Amino acid sequence: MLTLMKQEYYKTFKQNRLYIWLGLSVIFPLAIMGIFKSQRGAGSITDLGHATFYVYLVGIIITALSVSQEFGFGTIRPLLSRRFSRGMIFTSKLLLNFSIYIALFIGAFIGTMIGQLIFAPNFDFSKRVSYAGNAWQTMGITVMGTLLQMIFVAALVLLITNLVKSSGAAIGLGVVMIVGTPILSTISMLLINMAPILKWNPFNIFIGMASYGQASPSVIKSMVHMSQGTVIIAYLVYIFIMYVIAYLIFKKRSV
Amino acid sequence: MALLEVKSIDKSFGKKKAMTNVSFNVETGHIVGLIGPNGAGKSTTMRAITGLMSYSNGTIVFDGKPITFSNHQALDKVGNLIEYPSIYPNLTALEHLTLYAMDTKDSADFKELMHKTQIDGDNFGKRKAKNFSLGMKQRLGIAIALIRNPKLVILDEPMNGLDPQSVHDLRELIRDLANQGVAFLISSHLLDELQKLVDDVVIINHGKIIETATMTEFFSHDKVRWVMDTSDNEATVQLAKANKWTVTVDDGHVQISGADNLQHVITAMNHADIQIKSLNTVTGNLEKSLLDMLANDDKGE
Repeated sequence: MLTLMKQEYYKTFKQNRLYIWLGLSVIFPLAIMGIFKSQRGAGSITDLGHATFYVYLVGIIITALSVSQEFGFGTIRPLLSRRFSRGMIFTSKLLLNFSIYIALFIGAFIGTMIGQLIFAPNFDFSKRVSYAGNAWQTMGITVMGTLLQMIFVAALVLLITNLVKSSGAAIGLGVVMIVGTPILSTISMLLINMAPILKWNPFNIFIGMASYGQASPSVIKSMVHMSQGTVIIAYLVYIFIMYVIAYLIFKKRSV
Repeated sequence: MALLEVKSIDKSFGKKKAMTNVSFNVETGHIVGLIGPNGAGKSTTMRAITGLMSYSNGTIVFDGKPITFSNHQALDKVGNLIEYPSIYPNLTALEHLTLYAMDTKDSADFKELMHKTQIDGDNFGKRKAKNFSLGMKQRLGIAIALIRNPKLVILDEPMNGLDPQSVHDLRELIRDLANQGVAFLISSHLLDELQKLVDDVVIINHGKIIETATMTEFFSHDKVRWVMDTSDNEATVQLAKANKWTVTVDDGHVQISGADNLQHVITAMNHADIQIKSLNTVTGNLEKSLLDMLANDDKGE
């Protein structure tokens, strides 16, 4: 497993785009806070200068490319025709993607801190800024919420990539999941109106999780018809199921 | 016990049978040619051996260990180049070798391997693979197949995109490694090249093995023939029949086979006062033998 991870990192570190993406994760919050004076307050700083959107998007692209490129280059064959099991290969890809998500968040955090020092030097992190608490606590919850959403969407993206062996459709779906929350919310409400049991549909759970840290637990409960704790458990179950399906498709695929 | 034993493998894609009861062996240090027309099942067979594709019945055993779709620990000592080279465009040749050597403690010497596969000259080792020509990619693919000091190397159309000198050098490299005990399973449509290289042949058609033999056994079906222009073709035919040789007349040329040697034929023709205007000796030819065999197999179906 360690060897596989070493190989995955070796391939990744040789790609110029990784450094570009990481560099942009630092620049993005700096640019937002530098260009827009209105984005130098708590709402922006706790959202890493709105770089969570950038990290989310790049995370989806990286996830889709991590498998589809191996098919595209034909390198999936030497990857699979070795002593390693497909489970180990799949896990190594997940761990690599996860570590890049973390690196992107760190980049965005560094950019935000530099931006705060330059553009909002008097910003007080200890002041209460949301129901979640002070700026540090709100930032922590925002990052954690975004990371969990990314893991959910990444499971979907991996599933689609393994099915169609192309990154295009998977990235498209990922983008829809990011920017199409109002549409998903409408679909979800329609489903729940048809039958209350459909509150368990994945869109509803996703919306509940996406609102985590943004709204109070009582607001979330009235919105998705279940408590915040239930949303989290259902979310984790969905993540587990989707990764299992993605893995099974990957495992059964002849190349 | 053979190094690789493929026993009674079946594979279907839906209702279409891609492999039926495929069985053959590859011995240590032997170069085996897997030969057949397009769609015969060569790549499918190679993919099953390398754990890339499932198969329904039968077994594949390498070095005493089974290889299945889900269990292929044994592939540690199998190198392969199947269909086309698997190359990361942003890595150099040297970086590819470094990458693929990471999962073994017993890798080939990089410098020596790069020299043998001709990927060491002209800053080749330092250029990104996306700038390589087809031939360069092919040579790198072969180097990757050899990097982990494999006991068995599976090469699908290894001569693709190579210039004549590279084909010659590759042949020498394969022969050299086989002499050191490395076994090869090679498929190629360049039958003249294959004929110069392989020890054994496995002929596959419509997913079925129709012949497994050593090259010597294989050509025993295809005897030496003498093709000649004579002063009297009709008399030559009568003479051949009288001596119980096989004779045909094709496009004005008389073709004789089945005589003990050429001297017998010439002596008999001198006695019959038949002049030989031109003479060619045609020895065993893999292409012709294969085409004859496939034609017979297709007729039998």
